[in-house]
Formats: sequence, structure tokens, C-alpha cells
Amino acid sequence: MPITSSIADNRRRMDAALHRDINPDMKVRHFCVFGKDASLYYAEGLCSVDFLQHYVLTPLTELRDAAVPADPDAALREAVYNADVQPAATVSEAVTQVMTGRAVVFVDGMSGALGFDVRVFVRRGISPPLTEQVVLGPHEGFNESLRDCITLIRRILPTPDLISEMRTIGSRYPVGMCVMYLHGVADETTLSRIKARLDGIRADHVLSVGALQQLMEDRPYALLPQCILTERPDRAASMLLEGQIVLLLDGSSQALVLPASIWHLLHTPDDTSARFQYGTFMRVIRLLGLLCALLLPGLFVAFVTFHPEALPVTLLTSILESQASVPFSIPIETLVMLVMFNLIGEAATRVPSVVGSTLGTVSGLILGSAAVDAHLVHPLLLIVVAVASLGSYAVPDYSLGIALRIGQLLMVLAGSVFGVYGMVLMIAVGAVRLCSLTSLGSPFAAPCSPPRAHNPDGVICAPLWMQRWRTWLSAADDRLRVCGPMRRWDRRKR
Amino acid sequence: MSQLTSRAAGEKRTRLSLLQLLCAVSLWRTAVTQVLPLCGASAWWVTLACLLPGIGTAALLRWIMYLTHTDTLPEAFRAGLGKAGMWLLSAVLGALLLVEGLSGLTVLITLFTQGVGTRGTPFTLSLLTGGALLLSLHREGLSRAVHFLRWGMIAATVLIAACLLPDARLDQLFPLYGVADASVPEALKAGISLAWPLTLLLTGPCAKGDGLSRAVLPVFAAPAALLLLTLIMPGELLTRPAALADLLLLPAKYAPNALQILYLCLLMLTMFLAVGAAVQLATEQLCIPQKRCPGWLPHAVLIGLVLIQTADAGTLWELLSAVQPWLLVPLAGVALLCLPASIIRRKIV
Repeated sequence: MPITSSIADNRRRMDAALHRDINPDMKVRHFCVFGKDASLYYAEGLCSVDFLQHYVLTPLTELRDAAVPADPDAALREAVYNADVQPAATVSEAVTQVMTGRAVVFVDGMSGALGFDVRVFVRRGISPPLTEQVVLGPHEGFNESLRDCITLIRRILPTPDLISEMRTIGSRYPVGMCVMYLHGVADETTLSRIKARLDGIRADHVLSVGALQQLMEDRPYALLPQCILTERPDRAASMLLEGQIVLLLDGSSQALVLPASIWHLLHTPDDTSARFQYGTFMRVIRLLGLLCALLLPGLFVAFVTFHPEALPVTLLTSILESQASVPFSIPIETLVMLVMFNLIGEAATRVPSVVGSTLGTVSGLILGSAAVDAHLVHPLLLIVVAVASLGSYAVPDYSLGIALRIGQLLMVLAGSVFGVYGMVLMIAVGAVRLCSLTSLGSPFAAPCSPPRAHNPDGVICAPLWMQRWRTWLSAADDRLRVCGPMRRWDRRKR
Repeated sequence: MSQLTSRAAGEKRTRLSLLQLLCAVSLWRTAVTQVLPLCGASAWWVTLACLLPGIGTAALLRWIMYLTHTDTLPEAFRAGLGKAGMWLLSAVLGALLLVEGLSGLTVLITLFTQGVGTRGTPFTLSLLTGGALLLSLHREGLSRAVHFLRWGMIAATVLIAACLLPDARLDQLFPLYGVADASVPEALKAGISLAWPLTLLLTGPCAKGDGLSRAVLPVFAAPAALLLLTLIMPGELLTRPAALADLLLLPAKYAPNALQILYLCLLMLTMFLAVGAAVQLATEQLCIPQKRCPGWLPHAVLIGLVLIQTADAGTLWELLSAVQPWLLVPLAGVALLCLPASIIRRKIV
């Protein structure tokens, strides 16, 4: 519905669209400009009243005697000198501007409106990331303000090649979002694929980056996440340098990075911040943790139930002796213990952070020792489940950690019913499903399978100066990070 | 290298891994179940000798490709014998791969039920294995998974070999001719066709160029493993008549328990993946003339193979063992049929 030159018509439409009769947050201020009636609409709380007073109302009321411009563009050229003013041609555009914190001015005789930027949002300060803490890297995390998130990344990558395309998502209740990429480094095909997917989303509203992830993933039914969610600007920036694309959503304190591979989910910023020997060591430990988390409880059940002959005699005797006093079978015990550990983890996440760690420790210790004392579980099983749970928490990606704990339960079930061979079948099926996944069309298990040209940066974290190539996800003609050696002063032959 | 070329090269390598696995598993299965019980200590060199007809057929097929200036076998047969030639080749290769898949599935389920004593009837375990295979039949996923797991499988093999090696005694290697020497000709006859997957590997599009020597390396795993067995076990133990499951378990029978389980896990994993590979490659071969393969076809073929498993396993294995020695014949036959046509065509060109 276009904005007409009649102020009365425009007021009636805006009042109706903003439900002003029942919505007291939507404010209007009538005043006089260019010798004509004018109305200023804004949403209380989304904009600064001080800014409105000093930078909109005061300058405009001084234009009392000037001629009325025919349209907003003429007003911008001749009368209004604010830096950020957006014209609105329709009532819905004007309403969108009001709802995003702008103040919209209608003038009688002007067929259009002017949206002044007076936005002031209530927002959280920059705090350390909650789920991706590091020892050596920076300690800044994103907050819920889209502008702040973009600024944090721009501060790390101060280059005009860093493009931040603003757009909205959600057909009925749109929310602002930003597509960030490094021009020339990001692959054009991937970029167009992302844009096509964003255009193809038909949701009335997108609440969070997690919801956006579900709407964009190649295989939403798969157990593993196929995108990266990160709270860290430095991690987002490092992925931009690799040719990946970062999506930021207003109101979410996380960035969605895609395409991704399984290796991205296993790496942390610490790996590259630390010296390469330490980084490699940490990665190996993490990988062992992952394997322990996935396989250890299942192997324990399978060996004790089906292949006790493979266990050392002393261990087997100890297990059988203590098993005699436990009323449940090993598989049931293991499943119950795993569920209990997950319950403790979940409860510790939900309670306030001050109590959380204490609750986790206390409930783990007390429940565990009480269960052993009451002969409800086997002491060795407690150790196995504790090590497996530790392993799952060592995985840096939160979504992957949850997927791992689900996989752990499946492995226990397979081991309980078919022994080690059931687990072998499960591993084979799991490997095929993992390798068949794609992230925005790129193979999820690459560069391992299928092989792609890559830096020595999988399990082994090679020295930084040997990592001269961007990943296979970047544009083909800009793969080389630097020409020549990175340590030019080092004359040793390598 | 452009991005597309690099991606294509990556996919080729994963396909090569799939063929290598199929070849290695098929050779090991045939060698352990057909050759080893007949000739015991001579099995390693008999297996090596049995590779020769396969290599010969592969050389013949590659000559045909050279004569017709083509890169793949279907193209070569199309150039030599027209569309009918391509149909014939795809039918022969498809049938061979189906037999391979059926043999693999029979062995896997027999191992599951009799070898390791897992709970469940053959019927339920067939359904379970079939269900797991149905989940694994993904065109790219399967070959990528084989490539992904290759280092794990190689590491397990090396670990088993390293654990068995200290028990090796060189004096058991001789005489080369083996203990059950009278059966060597029979073993040669039984294993004569075991190298047909090698023919597939040598003529596959992945095996071209400088990767050929590395591509055939897994083929020698079976003779090497048999040689190791010869060194650690007396020939009399190797040639005892035994059931199919016992034959498959024989290599790790006298190893420590943990090693036995590792061997079984490796055997089951590789066989599981090899059956999936055989089914997938068979349907691809059968679909080459149509140029597109319906997505449901591999699943339908697999369901067919699983249903066949409801028959008596012993009878089925006897039937498959009878067919086994003749598997190379149709392949060599179509090669000989195409050769004159290719020579004539080359002379005309």
C-alpha cells in the first residue's frame, strides 16, 4: 500500500497497522514542518528519545518556513542532513522501519516517509564465550546484537574484501541477518547455493541460529550436525579466511558457519594458538576421548557379556565377583548409568552457573559411590562410564558431543544384543552414513574421504608455516595463502 | 589442477579403494575356504599361481582397450562389438559381481551364526545384516567409507600379523610343495578363478596411469597372510576338513583370545563392506547400457540376495563352491569374442 500525500490517510493506515489503539508502545508525535502537519512514529524502547529530540525533532521544526519537498528523495537532497535516513514508499516499509527502531516521519503533501536512524538497543556486553572456552586464544564472544557481531569480526579482519550482506529472514515476522564472506576467497558456487537456500526458506520467523541451521542443512535427519555453530569471533574469522561463509542472525549470540567438515567440529582455536607440538598432542587426546566416549561402554558390555575369555583372568574374576551382588545385568546397568550421567550433565547445564559445576561434581560422586555401596552398579562400570562421559565432554563442539552420547547408547545396545560383532556392524554403518553426508554439497568427511588437497591439519597439526594452502572449500583460484616461505628469514633448508 | 579435476581424482581414489577391498576380501575368502584346506602349506604359492589367469585376462582386456583407443571396458566393447558387446560385458560383469555378493553374504551370515555364536537364528541374522547393508548402500558413501576406514583396517591387519610373527618358524616353510602335495592340482583347479576381481581392478578406470602398481598391493595381502600361516602352523592343522565357519576362523584359531576377536572384527567389517561393494558395483555394471541407475535397484538386488539366504546355508555354499572355479571363463570368453573385432576395427582405422 503506497504512502499518499494525505497525512490523514497515512496516519489512519499507520495507526491501524501498528495497532496503536491497543499497543501503547507504538508512539506518535504530531508536529509542524515545512508549514504543514507532520507525524513521527516510533517504537518506545527501540529508539533513543534523546536522539529523537536533538537530531530529528529539533532540526525538522526549524524548517517551518521551507517549501514542502515532493517526495522523500527531494527532502533528502534539500532539507534533511542526517547521515542515516531511509526513505519508505509503502506503509509496510514504514512499519518495518518502526519495528527495527527507526523513527518514521510523514509530512502532509509528501508522498513518502523518511526513516531516521535513532536506534538504541538494550544489549549484553562482550563476554567470554560460554561453550567454547580456550586457554590461549582471545576471550571475546559474540553477543545478541547483529551490529556488534559484525563489528567484532571486522575488527579481526579489517579489509574491504570482507563483505557483509544484510538481509532479512522470516516471511511474516522478519528478522535481520548478515551473510559474511571474504570476496575472492569464498567459493562463488557455495555462496550462490547459500543465498538460494536462504531465499528458499519459508518460515514465518526464525528464532535463532540453531533454527536457521535446521532449515539449511543438507540432511536434517542425520545424527551429526553439518554446520558449525560458534560463539567466537576469532573462530568465525579463521573460517572466513578458509573460504567458508558465516551467517549471523539478529538476536543470536552464535554464528553459523558453512560448509563444514567433521574435522572442523573436532578442532579448537587453542590448536593453532598453541605451538604445533602441543596442538597435535591436544588433538590426539581429544580423538582418544571421542573414541572412548563412543566405544568404551559398548566394548565393556560386549566383552563381559559375550567374550569374557578375551579379558585378563584377574579382571574377569573381579567383575564376576562383584557382579554376583548386583541385581541387574551388565547391559541394563550400563544403560542406566549412561542415562544418569547424561541427566547430571543436563541438570548442571540448566541450574545457575555458580551451582552447576558443584552440582555436577557432587551428584556424580555421591550418586556413583552410593550406587556402588548399595550394590546397584559394578565399580568398574562406574569408571568406564565416567571415562566415556569425560571423553564426550572433551569434544569441542556441543552438537557433536550430544550426537556422540546418542551414538554411545546405540553402541551399548548393539554390544548388548550382538556383542563386538554388532558393534562392528554399527561402526560400518556409521562410517558409511558419515561419509555420505554433505555440507552444502561438500563431502562431510573430506579431505580424508574423498581425498582433497589440504594442509597437514587433520589429526596432526603441522607448523603454521607449512599450512600454506586454504581448504578445499575456498575459491579455486585463491588457494595459496602466501607465495614463498612464511619464515623468509629462516634460511635452513626445509 | 583445476577444482573439478581434483574432485574427480578424489572420487576415483575412493572408487579404487572400494575395488581394492572387494578384491582383497574375495581373494582371502576363496584362498581360505577353497585353496587352504586342499593344499595346506602350499596355499600361499598356489594362490599366487592362481592370480596368473586373472592377470592374463586383464592383459587381454587392456589390449582390447588399447586397440579400440578407449579408456573403459564398456567403451571398448561398444567400439569392438557395438551395443550388443556392451550389453554382453555388463551382463557378465554384473552376474559375476552378484555371485561374489552372494558368496560374501553367505559367508558373513555363516560366520555370524556358526563362527561367533551370536544370538539369533540364521533368518533373523540375515535380516539384521541385510538391514545394516540396506542402510549402507549409498553410492558415494560406501566407497568413501572404505577409503575413510582403510588406515584402521590396515593397522588392524598389521597388528595381527605383528602379534603372530614371533611364533613363526622358518622350518615349516619347506617343502615348498606342501604337505598335502597330492591335492595341489586340485587346489589349483579350485582356485583358478579366484583372481577374477583382480581383472576388474586391473581394467578399472581408476587403475590407469602411475597408480597401477600401488593399486594392486592389497591383492598380495592374501598370499602374504597364507605364508605367515604356513610359518606359524603345521601343515597338518591347516588341511583338516572343517566346516565353512571353522575354515574362516582357522587363521586365528591358535592366537590369543583378544587377537582372535580382533581378527573376527576385521573379517566381519571387511566382508560387510565387500558385500555392499559387490552389490553396488553389480547394479552399476547392469545399468551401464541404460546410462542411469535407478536408486532403488541396489536395494532391490540386496533384498533378493538376503532372501536367497533363507535357503539352507550348506547347500548354498556347495552350489557356490561348484560355480567358483568357472567364474573367470565368461570374462575370458567375452574378451576372446571382442578381440578379433577390435583387431579388425584397428586395421580398418
